[in-house]
Amino acid sequence: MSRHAASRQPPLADAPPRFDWRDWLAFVGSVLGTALLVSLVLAAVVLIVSTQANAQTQTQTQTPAPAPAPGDPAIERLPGVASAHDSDRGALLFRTTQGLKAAPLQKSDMHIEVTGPVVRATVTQTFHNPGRDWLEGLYVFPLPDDGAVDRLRMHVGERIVEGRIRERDAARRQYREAAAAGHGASLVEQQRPNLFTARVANIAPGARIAIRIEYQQTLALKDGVWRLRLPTVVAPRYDPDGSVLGPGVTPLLLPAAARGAEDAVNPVAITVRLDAGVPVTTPVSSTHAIRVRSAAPYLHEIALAGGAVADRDFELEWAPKPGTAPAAAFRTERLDDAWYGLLVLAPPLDAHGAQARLPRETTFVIDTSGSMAGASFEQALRALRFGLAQLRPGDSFNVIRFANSHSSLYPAPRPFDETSRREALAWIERLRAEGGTEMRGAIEQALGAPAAPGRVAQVVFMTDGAVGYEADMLTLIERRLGARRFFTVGIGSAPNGWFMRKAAAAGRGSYTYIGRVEEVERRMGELYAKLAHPMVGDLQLRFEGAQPLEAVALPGELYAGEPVVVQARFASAPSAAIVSGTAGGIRWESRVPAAPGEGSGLHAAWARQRIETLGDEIARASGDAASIERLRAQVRDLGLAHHLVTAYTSLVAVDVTPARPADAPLTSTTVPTHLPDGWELEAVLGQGELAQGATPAALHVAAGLLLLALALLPALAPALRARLAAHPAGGAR
Amino acid sequence: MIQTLRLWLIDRRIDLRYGWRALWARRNRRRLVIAALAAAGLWQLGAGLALHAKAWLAQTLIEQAWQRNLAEARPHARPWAWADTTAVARITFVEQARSLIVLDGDSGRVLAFGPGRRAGSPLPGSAGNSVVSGHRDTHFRILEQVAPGQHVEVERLDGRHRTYRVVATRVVDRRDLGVVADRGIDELTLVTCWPFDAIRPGGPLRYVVSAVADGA
Repeated sequence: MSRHAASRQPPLADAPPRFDWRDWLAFVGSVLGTALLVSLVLAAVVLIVSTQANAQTQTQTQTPAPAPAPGDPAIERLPGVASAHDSDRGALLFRTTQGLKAAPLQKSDMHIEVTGPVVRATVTQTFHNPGRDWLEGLYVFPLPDDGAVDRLRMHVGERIVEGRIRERDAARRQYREAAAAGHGASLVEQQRPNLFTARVANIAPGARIAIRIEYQQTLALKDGVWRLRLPTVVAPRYDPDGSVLGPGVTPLLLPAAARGAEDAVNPVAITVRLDAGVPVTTPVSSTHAIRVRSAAPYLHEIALAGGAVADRDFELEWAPKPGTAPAAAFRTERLDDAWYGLLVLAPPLDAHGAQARLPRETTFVIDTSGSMAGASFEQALRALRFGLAQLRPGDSFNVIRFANSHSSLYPAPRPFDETSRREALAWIERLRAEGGTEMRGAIEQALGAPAAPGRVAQVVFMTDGAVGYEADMLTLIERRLGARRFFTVGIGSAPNGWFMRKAAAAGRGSYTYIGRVEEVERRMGELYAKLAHPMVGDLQLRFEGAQPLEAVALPGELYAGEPVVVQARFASAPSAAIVSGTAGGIRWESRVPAAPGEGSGLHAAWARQRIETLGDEIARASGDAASIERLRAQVRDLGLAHHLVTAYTSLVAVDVTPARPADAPLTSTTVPTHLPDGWELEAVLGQGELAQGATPAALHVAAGLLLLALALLPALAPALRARLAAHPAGGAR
Repeated sequence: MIQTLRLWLIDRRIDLRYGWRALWARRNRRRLVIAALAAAGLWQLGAGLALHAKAWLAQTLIEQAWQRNLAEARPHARPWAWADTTAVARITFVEQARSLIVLDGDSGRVLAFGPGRRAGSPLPGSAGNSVVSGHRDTHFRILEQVAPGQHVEVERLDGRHRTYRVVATRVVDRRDLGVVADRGIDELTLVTCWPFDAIRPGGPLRYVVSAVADGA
């Protein structure tokens, strides 16, 4: 140590028996240190033991789940995935009423062809049966909310079976009969506009069945870029009484342990072939690592770099090269005796500068439910702070939060000043994400009192939209809107895009999507840029050469950067489309000549859009049974005519070759899906449990008594030893 | 800093190495072990008893908050300055002659101090199915003695009383939310962990006492 210490007498080697208060100080210090160490070790042991005991108890617990009906597994009732692994196969096991069963594994390959504004996607889902029983697999998967599913092919061994579109009930009946008869069969049904289920029956032990689904969607230049979004996972939706979604919709969740790449249950591969038609920038993805091979400035091939798990949306973004302005495209196609047209047009953006800023009344609504916990909540809070920073003196604002219930910063909007800004920031600081997603009260309050005159009233609604009662909310927004604008900001790795888009449409606002914390400022900046620019109003559309058979719905006005997308059907070939509008007091008009094509599936895009319009009418015609029935029949006929999966038509494929022997039973299981990236399992499932009704007090007391007893042993040891020495025979016994 | 400390120790002729050696001298070793075990034991025992002490002491403060809430007929008084809950009702187990104040919320933070109303369920004494959870080893230990046919009295914030008759007790899985569903009658549902004497907290089973309002 130091020379002072070295010079100290007596030397350390033969420590004298002097033991004064300073030594006691060191003694007590050491005791406390050791006690800390021992208790840490003990705590670790207790933790490990209790976790194991917990796992055991859970496996033994009989859950009150009813037996799933044959052919229709009530998957939301299945008690969950047992995390036990089949030792020799590495398969996930399912707990059913008959005991543990191996679950079918599923992998998805997505191949996307982008040709100008038309996106054609082929999704191959391969189901593998790792067990020894004949299996029926059920997989819940999402598709883009404007995707039109028009083709199903089933690959069983060497055979390929083409799926046929049928009425939902008839398709289901055919599927069940085939499943019961032992044929290979698959059924694709729509549960929500962006939520589908695939069932595959009679997967032989050790065998694979692949189903190939094709869909089409439309892409338009928005805010100066093209964005392709592919959802790959369905977020669990909040559905308070389970009545809205019905069985088979809320997906079964994988335990977090299964997230590792090796035992990934839903691996996904994505390839994109991009033929933009005009020179574009190299595509980038903010969600996945990608490899890009560019053959020409307009031709790119994109693949995922490395593997991925279906736990987040895939996003790809590219922009026109500066100087090339692909303002518009009008594609037409003939099918049977009708012509179908798709018009995509970006109104001029730079013709006008920012307009004078009017005082605003902004109401921020933030989702603080359990589904938002984790990364999503960070994004939402940051977006909220960004929004607050955009306010200026003279504006007024309010913040409303909702989960199981809702509450607000102020009872009514309050002028924005330094005091209210501080109060708002402090209030936001205290927000926590937990509980259910009851958004009705919050929306009612946000759209409650009429806005102060002379102000631009806006509602900025930040949520992941993970709810099952979407239709009610859309009607509510539409009815109460008044002079307001309702903007939705989608948060998280897998938001309910359909709901967000429709809510924004019902609220005459726009939809912004934020996928990562780093994107908050950029995307919110885009949203506020829209507000700063004058809107494109007085939109009008004419066609030359032919008139559309159905009335074409145009938005009354457009935010800066939003595209015009129109699908129409004609009796004869149209030659051009003419769009005109007013922006910032300046009138503009643009004529887009028709570009006829073949086999690009524009009819499917038209039918999909028409079905959506009819769906909106069904939602509005609540109560009028006769007209609802009429509209439903129209949707069904469209689905059958254009070979589309709709709410009332499904695709079914049956392999007529008998597969399963009559005496082998068919077991129904569900393919579990991942929780969207960044979600917290506890925060989601916590809302569905009874509170924990015990403290660890007993555990602490027991441990304490045990330790004290142990301490007593060495204390009594001399006495014991003395006794043993006195009676050696007694000690031996 | 360290140099100062070292000089200070040298000044007072304290050699830490000497202390450690003396500590590990054979005759002290046993003492050391005993002291370590005893300290860890007392620490655990203390932590366990502290939970009970907290549960018991808090009820006094909560009682005062309840009296204030009752006087103003609205739930606002915090039992202590940093509390994130307030008293919303008093339930009395008539046969056992034992009464408890119900807090708002059923998170672990709240239940440490008293039984809590499940978020989203109606206040005890109001229409619908009011769900109150508590810890089986502190406040809701009493549920073990509650049997069908006995009575639970609820005092509401407005000072009115309502009597519930216990109709059933059962054990359910913690995921069984059927017990909190509103069946269209005025009910009081008391939930705690089961089994009552388990050492380890956080098991999967819950003990549920269902009581139906008189005249409902």
